[in-house]
Amino acid sequence: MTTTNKVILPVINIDNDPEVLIFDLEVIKYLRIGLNVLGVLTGTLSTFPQQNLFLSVPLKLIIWEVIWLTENNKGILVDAKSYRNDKLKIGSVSKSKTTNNMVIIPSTDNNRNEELITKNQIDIKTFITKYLQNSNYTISKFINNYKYYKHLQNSGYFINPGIKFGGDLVIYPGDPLRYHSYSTIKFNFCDIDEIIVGGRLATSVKKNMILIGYEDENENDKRIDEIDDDVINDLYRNDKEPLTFSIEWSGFG
Amino acid sequence: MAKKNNKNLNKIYKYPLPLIISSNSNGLNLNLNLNLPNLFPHNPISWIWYSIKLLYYNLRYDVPSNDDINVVYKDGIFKIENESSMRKIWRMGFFGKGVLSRSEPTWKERTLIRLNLIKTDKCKLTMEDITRQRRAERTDFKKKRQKLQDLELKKRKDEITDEELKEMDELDKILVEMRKASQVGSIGSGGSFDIEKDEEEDEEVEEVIREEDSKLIDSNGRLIQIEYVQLQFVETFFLKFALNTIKISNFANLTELFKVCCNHYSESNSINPDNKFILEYLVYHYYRSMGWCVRSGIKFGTDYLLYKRGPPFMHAEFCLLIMDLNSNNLDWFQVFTKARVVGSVKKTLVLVYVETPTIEEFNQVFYDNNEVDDEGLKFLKLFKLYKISEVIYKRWNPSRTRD
Repeated sequence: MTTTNKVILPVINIDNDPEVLIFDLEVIKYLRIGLNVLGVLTGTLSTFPQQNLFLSVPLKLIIWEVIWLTENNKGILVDAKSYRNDKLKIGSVSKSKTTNNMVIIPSTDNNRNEELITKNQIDIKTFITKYLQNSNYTISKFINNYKYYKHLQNSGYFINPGIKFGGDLVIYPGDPLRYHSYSTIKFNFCDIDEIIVGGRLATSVKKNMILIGYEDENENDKRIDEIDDDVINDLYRNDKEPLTFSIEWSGFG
Repeated sequence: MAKKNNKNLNKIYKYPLPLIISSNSNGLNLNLNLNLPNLFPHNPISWIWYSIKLLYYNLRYDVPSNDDINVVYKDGIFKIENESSMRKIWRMGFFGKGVLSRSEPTWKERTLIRLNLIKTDKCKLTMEDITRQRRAERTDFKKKRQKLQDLELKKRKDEITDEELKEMDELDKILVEMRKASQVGSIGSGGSFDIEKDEEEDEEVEEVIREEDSKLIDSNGRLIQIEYVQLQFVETFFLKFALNTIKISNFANLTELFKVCCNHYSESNSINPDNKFILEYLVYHYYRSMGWCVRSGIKFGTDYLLYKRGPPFMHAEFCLLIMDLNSNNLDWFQVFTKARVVGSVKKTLVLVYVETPTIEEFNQVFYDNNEVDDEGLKFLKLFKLYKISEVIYKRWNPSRTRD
């Protein structure tokens, strides 16, 4: 399988709490403009270390984005450390410039080495297994949550994590830099308490709350340490669309 | 946080709890000892005089009976259906909720006015009307302010006509007046929202009583009361166990009531020390005993709201969230959301941690049969095994708080 048209998704910490961190500006641009994938910028600006509104590289991809990119053959998971070490060995990495104790690295990586990419590729199964070791997801919940994300992503929304607004996701009709969001997403159907607070909070920030879920929650009682092809097939299978309900509070003066 | 105060309120809500302590028919406190004559052991006449006075007081002023509120347990709900009891339980401590009203059972009152079955003067507005009116006033104010701002923008761009300038001046004046009116706190003055118009509409409606409304009126032309007050489980248990001011016909004793309450929260027949009812009740009792008016906080997604005196006097100051130390039942998403909601209504979120005894300690007291003749003492002993501590949780936004 060819790797040339896929972006590199550099994985750090593969053994323990893996994350995809992207430093390459061209890749970030492509993900955002070409694929509607936002990720979360996590780096502090060196000139304004205290502000936290506009952050810089690296861009962290949330788990659903990673799976979605892999499923659609847009990206390839690569072990960042060993890939770079291998490239250093064959000398295809230009010497970093050093000024005033700062290492300056180029913002984009121009010399991809397809051979080494294939060599250091990480299987999505491994990635998910390692990821789930640090979480309390059940397999079926994990699969369902990804399907909700996939449904929204394939509908063309721009998606950000929604903990700020008390939901699982926030969706934007276009790039969040140009559009306001009008919906927060809550995964799975929840109890009355969460509907009350969720609805209240969403309304107070001029949004509506969307509940998304499957009518019959398909149970898959696998343990999290055995991610096999069946699980991946379940993840990638396109079955029926999830049900969505939007809730808005009325009666606020 | 004080609401618009009304002298009437103090009169209506004279009693903080549904208990009347030794008072005569005028509601004045009476100290029996002070009014009794001196008793001289060597003077038989004083004995007689004393007895006459004592008898007089005992006959004239009967001990107020507190035990006249009937609660029925039907379909898993504790109900008060008697109209005077409904009023009493609300006015004396703000217990329960009218099932057809926001909180105070006012459905009948509202419907009487709506169907024009009684002649009322203009000022007799129900709480719901007042709220609706206040909201309408506020939207109206906001609309006018928006218009003024639009015109101001036009003025700055030099696109304004003379007519619009005039309109601007007028709007400005109206807004100033409206602002003043809302500060003084008079309802219905200033804004264009007037009660007269509302009444006209009412009269139009009156000509035709809708079919569904006609079912509400009995053969004598009187309105049938269909509202009842629903008591929370904790409220019921508090009124029975702590105050003993209600009668519940369904249960022979306190333990039976306790078991039903506990089983409402868990399927199993055995009662665990961390049963949600016990935790909820303890927190309820704890704050009630410190003088707070405790009401359900479901509208803000929390367990309880704490009012000073009661809802008509003050807005709630605190929202309580009961935290069970043994089970970790809240995730960060939920805590974030609740804290944001509570913060947006200018209240303080209090996490109340309840420390539970072990199951052995619990069972030892609960199944101890020595105390059978006084169940109250048994529950007192049981509840003393628990400990309560509080933590205030605040949402803090670093980028907004920085100076």
